[in-house]
Amino acid sequence: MTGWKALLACLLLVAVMVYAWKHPSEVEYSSQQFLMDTFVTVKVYGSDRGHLQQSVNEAFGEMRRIAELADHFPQAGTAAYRASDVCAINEKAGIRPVRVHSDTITMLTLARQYAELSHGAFDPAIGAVTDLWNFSGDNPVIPVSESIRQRLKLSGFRYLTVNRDNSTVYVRKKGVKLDLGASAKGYATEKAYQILKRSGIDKALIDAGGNIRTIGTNREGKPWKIGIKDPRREGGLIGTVSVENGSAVTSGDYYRFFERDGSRYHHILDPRTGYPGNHTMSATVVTQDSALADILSTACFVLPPSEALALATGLKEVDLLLITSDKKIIHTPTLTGRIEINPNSGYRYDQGR
Amino acid sequence: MTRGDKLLVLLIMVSAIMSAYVLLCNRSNKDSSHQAVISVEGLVVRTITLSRETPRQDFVINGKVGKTDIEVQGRRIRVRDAHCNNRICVRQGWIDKPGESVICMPGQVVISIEGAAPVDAVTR
Amino acid sequence: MLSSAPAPDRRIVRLSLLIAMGVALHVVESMFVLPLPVPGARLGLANIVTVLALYLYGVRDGLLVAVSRVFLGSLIGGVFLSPAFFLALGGSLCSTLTMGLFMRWKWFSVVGVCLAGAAAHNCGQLLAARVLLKNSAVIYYLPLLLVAALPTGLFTGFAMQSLLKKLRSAGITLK
Repeated sequence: MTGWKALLACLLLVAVMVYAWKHPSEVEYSSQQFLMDTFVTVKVYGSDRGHLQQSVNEAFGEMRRIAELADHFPQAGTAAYRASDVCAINEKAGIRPVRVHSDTITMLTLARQYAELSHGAFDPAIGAVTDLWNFSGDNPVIPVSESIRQRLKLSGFRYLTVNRDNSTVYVRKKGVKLDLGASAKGYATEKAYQILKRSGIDKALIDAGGNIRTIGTNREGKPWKIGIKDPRREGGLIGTVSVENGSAVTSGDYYRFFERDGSRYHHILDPRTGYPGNHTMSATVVTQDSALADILSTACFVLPPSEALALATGLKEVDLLLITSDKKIIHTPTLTGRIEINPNSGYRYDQGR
Repeated sequence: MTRGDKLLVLLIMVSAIMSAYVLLCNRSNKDSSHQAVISVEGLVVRTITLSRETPRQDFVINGKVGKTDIEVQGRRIRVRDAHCNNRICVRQGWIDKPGESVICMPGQVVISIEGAAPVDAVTR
Repeated sequence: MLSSAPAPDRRIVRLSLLIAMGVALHVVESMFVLPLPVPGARLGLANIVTVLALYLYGVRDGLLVAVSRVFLGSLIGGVFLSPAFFLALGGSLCSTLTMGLFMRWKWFSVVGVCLAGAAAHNCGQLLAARVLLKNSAVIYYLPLLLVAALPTGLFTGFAMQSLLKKLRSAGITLK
């Protein structure tokens, strides 16, 4: 009889082992939403599914809130227009300062600081020129050079005054327009990251249309492995970069573009010329803060490669990888050891550059 | 050694071989087929197994701005035609690797291939 | 001298000796590791003292010897609270419980008990590895670990068989 009891106990032990195997201490929760004109995926790991779900929803809510503050597209009179600080600032350009949300202050302070540092290679007050090109419309055309010259006079971060003490922003000239298309997504991603971090999540990946922000390590306990898109081959990667507790953002000439007479006209304009930058096919910035990565990837994309590398090297813990228009891959030396370059991608890569 | 002991030796050997067999079968299955997941506005509307045996087929998904014509051929899938204005999804062509996706922004249609992806995400 | 002492004292002395021997075996054993993706997977030869404790005093003292052996052995080896420690803990808990069960089953001799213990030991290690790595792919090591349990189980089994025979002829009562 004891034999049968033992058999029963044995089966129980096996059942407990199988249960322990099937119910690990960690579960994955991931969710997708269309936000900020792009497709956002948030993937988190933890022990409590309900808590994960709630945190992810809060993170999405935060991103939506930032997106609404920074949106400059809505038509006047709509609810989205009234919700947008950027629209309010643009409307009162040359008239009076506008009281705005503290997030808008932070976003614009950062934008202005790096506009200055990059000598205008990144510029938040370039709306007058981007409106002229109208890349988001159905039928983009190349504007005549005279109108670009006219609009350049209505562009430049120097018209922007951010007053932190009164929480006001003033654009000092009528017609000058803020366009946070090159930095709002990064800031929203960083705020979503902060929400997740504050709710105690220690493993997460936010992918906001290719703007990556990570917490901790991936499911296998290794640093998150982020592919770097091949700028000329759909679905292809030129290599990978490991990102643990950080951010990787790429600006490329392949996202919104049209071709005329064999030339490629894409949506990342050089604020100093009013035309698309043409030194670089893509610039990937790897650094902790996603808002900074977004700004710097635009600036480094627009700048000539040597100046872009100098800019990144001059900043603390900022890594840069460029794919130049002459099909060369170059990066800051600090990236060595964290990147793997696919040798068959067809780009020239001199190790150690 | 009693007869029970000998049976136990046999049992351990058999379970080792069985588990090896089951695991290897599972692994090769995973390698040769993936799942394509199609969603509209964040909700999954259809999943299709993509393997060498999958017959050529096409079907229509109702996106937010009209119909999206999707074609499956063996291990690959694409948007053949779409009623969106920019038609970026159509231009993108075939995808066949896990982790790849076709995203139609105006229609809010996403086709993604699931499986063991070589990278966690792609910066682009 | 030991046999003249009262039974409770004798038990404590014997268990202490078993733990001490177990710690020595544990440390020696950590020089031969099994290929698992987590470092520190072991063969389970130190189980032999656990089996002895089980046959002398039953499951409770078996567990006491096994757990003390793992704690002390890991402290001495400098791997306390490291992955190797958790592997050893998972392995020896599983094997002790399993052997405790198999002992009551009259179909098996001590060889069978040790075989079951070795298999359970390796499954327990695998379970610990799965929890540590949070990755179910470690199950691919299951066939290998089951095969590895055969020689170690048989070895400890035959060693115990001759040992128990000697103990019985010395007049020591066994469970």
